[in-house]
Amino acid sequence: MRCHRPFQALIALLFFVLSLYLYAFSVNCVFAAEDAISRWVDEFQPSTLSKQEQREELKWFSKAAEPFRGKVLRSTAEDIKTHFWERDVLAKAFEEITGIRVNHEIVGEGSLVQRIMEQMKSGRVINDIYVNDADLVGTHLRSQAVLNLTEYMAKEGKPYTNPQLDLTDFLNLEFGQDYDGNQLQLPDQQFANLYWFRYDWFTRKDIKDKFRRKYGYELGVPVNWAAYEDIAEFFTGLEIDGKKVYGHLDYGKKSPSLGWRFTDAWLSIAGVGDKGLPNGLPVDEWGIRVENRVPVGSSVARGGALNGPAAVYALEKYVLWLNKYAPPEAKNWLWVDAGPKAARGDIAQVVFQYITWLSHEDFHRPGSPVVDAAGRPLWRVAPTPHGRYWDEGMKVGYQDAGSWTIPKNVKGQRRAMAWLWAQFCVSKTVSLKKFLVGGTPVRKSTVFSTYLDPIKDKWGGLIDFYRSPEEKKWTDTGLNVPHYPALSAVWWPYISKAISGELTPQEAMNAIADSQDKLMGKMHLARYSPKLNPVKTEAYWLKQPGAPKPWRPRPEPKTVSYDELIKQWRSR
Amino acid sequence: MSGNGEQMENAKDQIGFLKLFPFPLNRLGVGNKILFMVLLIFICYTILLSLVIGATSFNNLALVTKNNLERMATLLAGRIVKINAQSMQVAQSMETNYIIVQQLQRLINYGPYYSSDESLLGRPIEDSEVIYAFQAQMEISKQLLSLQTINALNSISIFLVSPFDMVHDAMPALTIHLDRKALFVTRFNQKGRAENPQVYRIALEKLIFPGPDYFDISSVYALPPEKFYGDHHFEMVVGVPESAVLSEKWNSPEEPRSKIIFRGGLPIIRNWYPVNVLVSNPETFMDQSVTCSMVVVEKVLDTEVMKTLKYDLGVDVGLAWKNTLLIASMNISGSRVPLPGNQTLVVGDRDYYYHAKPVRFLENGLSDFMVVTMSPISELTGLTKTLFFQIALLTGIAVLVTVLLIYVGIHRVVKIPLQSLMNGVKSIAEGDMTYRVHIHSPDDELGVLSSAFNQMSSEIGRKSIELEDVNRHLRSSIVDLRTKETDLSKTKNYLNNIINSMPSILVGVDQEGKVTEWNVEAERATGISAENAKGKSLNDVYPGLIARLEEVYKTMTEKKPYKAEKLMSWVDGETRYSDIMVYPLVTNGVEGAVLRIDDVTNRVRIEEMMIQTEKMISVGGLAAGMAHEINNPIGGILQSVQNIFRRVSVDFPKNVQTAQESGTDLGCIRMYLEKREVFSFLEGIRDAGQRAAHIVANMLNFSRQSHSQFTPTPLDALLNNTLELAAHDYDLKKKYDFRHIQIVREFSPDLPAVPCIPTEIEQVILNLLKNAAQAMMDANDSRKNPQITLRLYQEGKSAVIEVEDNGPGMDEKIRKRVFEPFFTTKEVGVGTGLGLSVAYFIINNNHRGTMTVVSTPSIGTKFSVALPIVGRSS
Repeated sequence: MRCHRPFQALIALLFFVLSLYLYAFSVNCVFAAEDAISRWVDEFQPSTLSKQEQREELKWFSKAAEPFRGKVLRSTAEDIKTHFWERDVLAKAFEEITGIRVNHEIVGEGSLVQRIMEQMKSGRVINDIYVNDADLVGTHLRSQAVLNLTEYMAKEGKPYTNPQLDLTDFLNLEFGQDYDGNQLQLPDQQFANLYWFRYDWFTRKDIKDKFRRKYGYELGVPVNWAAYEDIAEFFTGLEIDGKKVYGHLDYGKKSPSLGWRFTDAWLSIAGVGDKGLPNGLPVDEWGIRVENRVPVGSSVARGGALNGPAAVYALEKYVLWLNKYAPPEAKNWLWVDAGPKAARGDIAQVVFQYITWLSHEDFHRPGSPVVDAAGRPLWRVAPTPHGRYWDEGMKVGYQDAGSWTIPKNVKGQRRAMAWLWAQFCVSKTVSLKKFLVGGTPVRKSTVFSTYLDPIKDKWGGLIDFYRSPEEKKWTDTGLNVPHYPALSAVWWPYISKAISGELTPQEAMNAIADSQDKLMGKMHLARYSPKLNPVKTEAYWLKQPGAPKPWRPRPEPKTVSYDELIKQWRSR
Repeated sequence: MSGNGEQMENAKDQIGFLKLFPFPLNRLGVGNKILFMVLLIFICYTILLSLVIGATSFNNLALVTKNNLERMATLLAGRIVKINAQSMQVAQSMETNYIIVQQLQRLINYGPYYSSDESLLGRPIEDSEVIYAFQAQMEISKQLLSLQTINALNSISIFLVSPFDMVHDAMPALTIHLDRKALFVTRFNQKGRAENPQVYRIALEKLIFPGPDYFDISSVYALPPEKFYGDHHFEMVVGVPESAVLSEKWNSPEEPRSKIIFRGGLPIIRNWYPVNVLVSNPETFMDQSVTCSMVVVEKVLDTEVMKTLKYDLGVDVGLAWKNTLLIASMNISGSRVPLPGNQTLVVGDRDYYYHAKPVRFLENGLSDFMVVTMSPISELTGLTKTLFFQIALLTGIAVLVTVLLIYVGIHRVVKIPLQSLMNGVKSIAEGDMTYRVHIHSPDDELGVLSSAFNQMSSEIGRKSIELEDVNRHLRSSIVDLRTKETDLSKTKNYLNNIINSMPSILVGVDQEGKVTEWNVEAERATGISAENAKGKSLNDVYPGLIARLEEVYKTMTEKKPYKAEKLMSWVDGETRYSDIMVYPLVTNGVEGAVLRIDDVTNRVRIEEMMIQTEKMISVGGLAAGMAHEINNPIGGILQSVQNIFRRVSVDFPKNVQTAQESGTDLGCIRMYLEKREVFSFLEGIRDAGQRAAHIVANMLNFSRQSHSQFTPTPLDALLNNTLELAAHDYDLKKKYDFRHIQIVREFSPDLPAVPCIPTEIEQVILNLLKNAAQAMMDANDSRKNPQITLRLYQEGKSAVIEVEDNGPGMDEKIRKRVFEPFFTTKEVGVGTGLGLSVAYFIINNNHRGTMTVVSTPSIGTKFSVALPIVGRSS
């Protein structure tokens, strides 16, 4: 037996050493994660959370991701500043904290939609998760091909759901919900379309006097299109400080982005559609009528409003202003070309400015023609003026939320990893920092952060906008649109023809309504698939209350002082 | 006799020999007999040659066939290896086909042997996943179907294997099987288990692949899988065909395999190929290329394949296993045919030469598997027979062609020349001396004979032709002469007609001045007939030419033409004008001349008239100008004279009062003026002024267009009126005593009314009458009583008025100038010199008529006025 002892001791020693090594390895790992958390907490400043709270939150991520250490996740988002920052900073942080490597691929919105559609149609797992505009929620709820996050959070994904996620803190959570309130998409970044103008010019006495003399009312933020039109006319060709300026900015190059210019609520701003938030019911701003959650048509003859007087008016004004008041080269611009153009210093106002562009450095750079000597913007944003068909109780403008979306065929661990990554990107730990970079807030805690109070002027009224209850009137494409990618593709070719004069606005809208109805008539979706109403006379529908609405005359032009407006927002 | 008798014998023998033939050979010509002999010789030659060749060719062919079979066996072995390589290539191509690889990824994902992480193993496969898998199966099948068709494969199967060894010891699970009849797809129910899958089958003829829009974004979530199988007519079946079953365990799935197997007695080439695709590693979630499926391709080497190979190689082919023929391109009806060692085998009731060669396969090593090439022996026999027949046929054709050539030769060399010689003799006999025998070859006997014959016949022919020629020549000379004679007389008549139809007088004279030619016009002018004139001296027959004889002779000697124009002569008291041309004429060496005499009196008169008209018009213009200028001063003179008379008249009280105021008496003044003949001077001034005014008024008539109306007027009445006027004319009465002149009226009774201005015509006639009276009074010729003849008649479309007197007449110089204004033969103060001019002007200008004068000194003068009967208006 003795002779065996040294052998046993050796075995025991070896076992001890091995245990020690394994312990050290695991502790090392934990320590490594701890290290990383500390570093990243410092990095994610400022934050609406305290550093301790941040640390707690990040620790939870580290722990929840333990089973997935060393694995790879594929995610895709569109090409805006916020997502580039996610790719370059957040993905790195996520890997260091959780051990999960994320390929956060940035592609154009068009390709992104194509990918997610292909994945849903064919079942090929192209990506594990997408940041997909909530405009598609009507599509997703009908296809049943994306993960119901509400259900997931309650059951399968419960261990992977951040206890500090705080859904109530989200600004517009409803954008990603189906008719029954199930969360299909979780907002990651959101941006609105607002009215943009040169506050410095609008408040200059000589310019104001000149305007009053000519139009008989005060120059200010236009409340309706009649006033916008007058102001556009007033500024176009006017010389300010020796420079000729334009009264309007837009874009008109034949491309899919021309369609967004309309489907991103231009028609609701004109007044097409019924009252109701976030979208008009039964007729929304795409002119689609929905009855019992089922789309029944978009042409007036079927009860829709897409070729009604209001829609034709919306297209008419767009073409007219583009031709008369915008720089001549604007007709050859794409969405991306037009985005930062207001910053070049010769534009007085923009009726439809995507605020995501306002984080572009041209709007903030010292020496920029739209920044004063102290580095403060000379421009402001204000509510979008509305057209003559608009009624109180309708949505006022467009606001979309790029939202995390997981296709149903991503399962098991992949699904869990994807969900962790999505939550990480919208966590309170990183939200304020992310807003400061990309200017696309999703959390109330972000926009109400005391950190922003002293510096909010930097955003030219944007913070005030988000803090006001008015913000709820800016919404995305709603639940009525049964197949966003297919239907949105219909619009731009005809709009382009209206710009070139090949079609009159009425002909163009007729064609769009007709094509949209034909497409809807062919759809076979898993739920609430469209079923077209029989055709009736247009007169019948125009006589019914609500949309489609009959013709209206030009109203009195109306403006409001910007400072008054801000006061109102703050008081609410 | 004996010689003759022998010849006779020989001839009889020949006849006897020829009698052997069924047709009467002795009736044939010489050429045909020769021909017959040659034909016989050739036939014998042909038969012999065919027999010899037929006998030797069989052995040679057998040798060639065996060599060929050996060569073809090598080729066949190559073909079989190639078929194997081709089906392996099909299996391999799956890995490089992007569509197949992508769809295999889906199949693996939704299949039983893989899940994205291990936690998912063991759970049921969801309906949506089954439909995704079905989509992938349809996409892959579409590709497989074309691969199968292009490569003529019997079946393609795809099996799923477990990548990353997720399911241990997993047997490859069939997911798609495609054979020549149907497509099979399998449906799995649980992750981690592939046992008892549901198999769905569809016959290929029913198979329709879903269109690009069939699956949309929510199809798989909308309907159960059965709907999709049902929509595409798939039926659930139990079990799969034998070709879809892997009969052996596959130990090393990474290696491709290739093997000959046997099923139902048929050899089958079977290839296995593992397909690698990118699959996410469930440990790392990173994509990795791993084997996740296996493709099995089968090619059955059946009779069809053998037949195709036979078609390519040209010999019968077969496959043998362990020296037994398994399959062949010809029907062996399932029987196992052994391969004996003597290179011949028997299939059914036929013998074959054969050659066998072993083939090496990947799996089977140097096997007992052999390719066999075969060729039936009966084919060789047949070939030999064919060869014999072909040689016989060829030789036969050659003989026929040769005989034909010989026949043509004899025909041309002997038969044709003889025939033409015979035809020649026949023609000469019938009198055709021109016939010539064609000489085919001049050097042979027939040629010599033919040319002698031709010589003879041509001699006869030549003589006949000579006689014929002389006759023909004589006949044509007579005809020629007659023709020339007729032509000559025609020409002569023609010339005479020309000469006689000319309006000129043509006279031909010879050197001595004797008339040689005398045309009809000459006859008419002289009244001497041509017959009488010819041969007489020109002096005698045409005395008017005496003055010109000298020129006629001069023309003949100098040979230059002579011309004299407007020669005057008096014929019947009338002046006539002629042009004379004399041309020298040389006819047949005899010199003479031709005289042409043209009466140009009318032309000369017209020329004079035209000159007169020109003058009148120019003077008229001048006179009108002058008249206007002169009228005013004359008016002044006459007015002043009239005033003087009135200022001294006692009829005006103002004159008396003015004279008293001047301290005198009007009576005294008048007395003084009368006494000193001042009144008479004043009368003189008034007369001279009135006279001048009258002249001027006449002058104005030249220029003034008459505005009077043309009215149809009976001229006889007009002439009578005028005569009456003349009788009462103060001047005529006083100075010329017109009543003593005898007036003769010669009026044509049926003259129509002539459109004219009667007053003007009256003025003209009155003027003519005055002139006539004046002339006759001035002459005061007691020998004859003064007489004026007035004539009125129609000539053509004109009415002519003639006023003829028998006064002293005028000489030519005066006659030419009578119509000139201011030309007068009267004393100064008697005539204005304008009367005839105005008359001329009235007739010519106002009435578009003519006015002419003819006068002969001491006989009288005749004025003619012609007025157009057709009015101006027409």
